[in-house]
Amino acid sequence: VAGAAAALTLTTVGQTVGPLRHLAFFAPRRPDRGPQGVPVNRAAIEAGVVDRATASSYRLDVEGAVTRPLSLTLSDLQGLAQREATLPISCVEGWSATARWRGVGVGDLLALAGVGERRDVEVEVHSLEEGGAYNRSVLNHWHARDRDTLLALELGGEPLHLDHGFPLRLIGPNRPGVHQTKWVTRLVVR
Amino acid sequence: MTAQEDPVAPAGTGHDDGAPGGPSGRGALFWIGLAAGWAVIVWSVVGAMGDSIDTNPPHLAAWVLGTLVVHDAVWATGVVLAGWVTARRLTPAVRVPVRVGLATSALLALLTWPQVRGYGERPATPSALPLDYARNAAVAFGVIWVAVAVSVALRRRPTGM
Repeated sequence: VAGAAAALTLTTVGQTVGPLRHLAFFAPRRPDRGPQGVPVNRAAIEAGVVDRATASSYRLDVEGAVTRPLSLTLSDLQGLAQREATLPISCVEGWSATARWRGVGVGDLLALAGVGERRDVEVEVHSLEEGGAYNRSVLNHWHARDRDTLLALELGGEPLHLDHGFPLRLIGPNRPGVHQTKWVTRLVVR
Repeated sequence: MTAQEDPVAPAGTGHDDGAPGGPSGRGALFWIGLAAGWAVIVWSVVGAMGDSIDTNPPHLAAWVLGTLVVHDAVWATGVVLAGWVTARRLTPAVRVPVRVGLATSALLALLTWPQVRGYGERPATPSALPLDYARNAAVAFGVIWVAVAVSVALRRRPTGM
């Protein structure tokens, strides 16, 4: 039993420990397999967002407790100051994969919307996905203000793949993968 | 996500009453353990019922009870049978490596079955089950039985080296 347990650990741990990935014989995910070299938990087709994510009518709305509500097109977002961060997707399925992300800082967007430096700010991040338990997530004050918390437009120097949340996805430090909301269309500030 | 906990709990170590007073005495530890165990069970059931969209209680119940039945009817029977056959048919030098090989292979087969069968494959998500698990399982079984063969050869070698 101990031998089998050791063998199985060795052949699955590679789904999160990069150097062991070639030993990950039985891992249900490989951290380097997927669009743009990063695995996907839920594809755009499964989430039913393909049409709206690729429509020219796409907007990111920033609303709620803001002094200047925003409604930004994809090119508006691309025109804003961009930040970069190297952060992992750490999925509750058991895998994790680190990548280089580039996009608009959530803190910068809050400043643009006229949200002051108040300490109790919370931001609800809503996806285009209509159903599902994870079609939104909440950023607390620390997450929202962290300079590495991005609404990413790019992954590894390329526009996000549709399955990674094109046109815009949340990526921030110290969050489980299911709370790195994809296909983001609305921020509600509280 | 599917739970893949090993349903093959190690064979029980008998009745541990947690009481130093012997098998019939039930000390404080027994009752504390009983209360804690039942609290966890009740908490799990309440949680599973409350989250029924995600947990699907009938499937969960079938899984929990099904593993018990499969364990007792199939698994335990197989283990007893394998033990009996290896005890009668194999010499001591061969018996231990073969038993280790059988146990390891059985666990490996059980735990890799979902991947080999492709449970959880999704056509829209190429990163779900991306590997050739049947081939990988074959390689792993090969490694196990080569190790068994090497071990048998070493044990059969005349002593005095």
